[in-house]
Amino acid sequence: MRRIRPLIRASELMVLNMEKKAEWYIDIFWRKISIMTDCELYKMKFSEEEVNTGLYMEQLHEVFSYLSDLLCKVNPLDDKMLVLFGIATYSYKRLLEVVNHKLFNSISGRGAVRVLIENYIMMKYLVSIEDKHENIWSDYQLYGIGQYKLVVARFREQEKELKSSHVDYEYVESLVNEFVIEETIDMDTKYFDRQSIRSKADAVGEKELYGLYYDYDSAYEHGLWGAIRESSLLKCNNPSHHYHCVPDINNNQNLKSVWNDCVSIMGKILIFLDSVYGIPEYLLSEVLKNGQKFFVE
Amino acid sequence: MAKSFLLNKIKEIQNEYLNLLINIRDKIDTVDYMFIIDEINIFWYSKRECVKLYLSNVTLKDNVYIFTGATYLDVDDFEHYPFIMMGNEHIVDDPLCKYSRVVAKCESADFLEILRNQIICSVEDNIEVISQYSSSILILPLHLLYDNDIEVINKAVNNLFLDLFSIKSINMNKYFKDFKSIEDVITALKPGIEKYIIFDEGENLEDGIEERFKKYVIKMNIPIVEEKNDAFKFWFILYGFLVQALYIILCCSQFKLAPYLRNRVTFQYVILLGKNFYNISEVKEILFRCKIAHIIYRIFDKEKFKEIKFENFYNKLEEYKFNDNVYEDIRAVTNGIDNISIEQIVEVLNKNIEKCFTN
Repeated sequence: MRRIRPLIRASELMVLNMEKKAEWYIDIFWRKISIMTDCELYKMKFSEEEVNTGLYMEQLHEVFSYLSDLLCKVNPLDDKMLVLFGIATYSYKRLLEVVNHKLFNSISGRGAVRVLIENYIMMKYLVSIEDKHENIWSDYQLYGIGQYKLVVARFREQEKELKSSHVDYEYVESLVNEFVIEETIDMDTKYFDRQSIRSKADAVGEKELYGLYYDYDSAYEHGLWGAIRESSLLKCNNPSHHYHCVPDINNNQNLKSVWNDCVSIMGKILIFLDSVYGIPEYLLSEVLKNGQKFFVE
Repeated sequence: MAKSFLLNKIKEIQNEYLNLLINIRDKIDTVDYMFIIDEINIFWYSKRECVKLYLSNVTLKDNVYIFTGATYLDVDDFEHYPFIMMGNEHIVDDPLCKYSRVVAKCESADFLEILRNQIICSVEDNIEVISQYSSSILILPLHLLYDNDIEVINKAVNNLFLDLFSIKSINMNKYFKDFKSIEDVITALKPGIEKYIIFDEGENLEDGIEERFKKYVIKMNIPIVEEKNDAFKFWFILYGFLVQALYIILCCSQFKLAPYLRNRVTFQYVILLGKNFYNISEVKEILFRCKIAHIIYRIFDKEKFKEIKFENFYNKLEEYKFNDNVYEDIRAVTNGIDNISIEQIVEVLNKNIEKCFTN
């Protein structure tokens, strides 16, 4: 039996291979069948986020107002504070956009989560290496402005008038030259400090945040097929259509809400800033406590 | 706020202020003291936003007391002991930046000399507070930060003053025109209001208001109103008390600070006027704390504690959780802060002082 069994299996495969298929007929069959029947579309519909964000955003504003006062009134020339509060404020504004424009169940909402994660990791990373990297706070600003210089240089090369573009080149140029003339600014096209976000996340103990969320949201920012499939294509349940996908041109499909993740990452940002500068307990505990309620609900 | 950047800044400011005061002390006999006041005001002005931010983030839960309504704390006389007994944090409203307003308005040489001595004592006291007790007491210029319109306060105080009278149509012009002597004033007062008008810490309330007023005028010998009639002096004195009390209430409620008042007169006017704000629960709480602290000041026997080092005294209070125990006992005695009598508070305080320092 031991000898016979493999022989039977091999023969079966050989016989199948020898079978003559009418490929031309199969093609015509499916083509005709497929156009004779309609798509049977189904969509993924997640419940629209209807959470009341008012109090949370108000409390968050209070915290950011305190941090802003700390910079403006206590240490107006502190580069470290400027960089950290600048990054945090950018995160706050992204979150504000999610709320104001109801982006909870949208593609753009995922972009916001990605930025919040990246900003959080970057803040932690900068603080973790500040002792090893002299002038890190001004270097970080110059690195970002250097990227803008590259944009300006490309614009000049094109010699085009782009008046209706969303990029205001004159304004960008003025930002590049805001504090130093642009000739003295390096254009560094690599990652800041030559470390990818993944390595930075590793370095600051946020590997899980990176692995579970950042890569997923990056797919959305880069328009990778996974994100396209999930967000912009509908499934057809008609077997004669080979279960193909169909563009969701009427925006019938939505995505799961980003709100809880936004709140969770913003909470991490606040706790981190508290560890560096101290946020009054009555402000911090209220906003964190209120943030926790969303998870319970 | 685990590692508060702001609190560290405030501590840095205290050290800077200490250096400034030491520098000033060395020059105090050689320069015009207006220069000293000016230096101090400029110092605090440059730090005002930082201090304001710090105080703006004080909450009732922080349980902060501020020493105000007086000149200087007087640590040489152990006055810091009763001051730190209640509350978690303690601030001295810097007396030095209050003096500039007085100096600018006074021309009497005698008065200016008294003021000069006050400034010297305040500088010395501030130096001692910061250098010895900065871990438990801060010095901050509350006066400089209060931003309510002085015109509004003036108007409110004059209205409060006019409320003392039974004539409905009275106004300030009419008061100054019709009233000349103290008899004119007393005749027009609302019946029974005399007992609420006090002038001096040690005065006997059994004496009539006219007698108490006259004694006070002689005692104080206020240079600015020397030539004026008694009705003007009466207004001037009461205006001072009322404006100070209103200012303390508004300022402390703005920053959620409980005033630590030693002076009986100031305390009485604060509590009296404060009743108008009892519909605001925070003000009510602040004034109750003020009452407890004032009673502690009254019953605290410094002689008993002179042998205990301040650090040990402070640690004992912390270990015993003096503030919490006092409040627990108060809650046990009464349902609400409205119902407790002064005698009951005194009993609770004495019991806890005894328990705290017995071992």
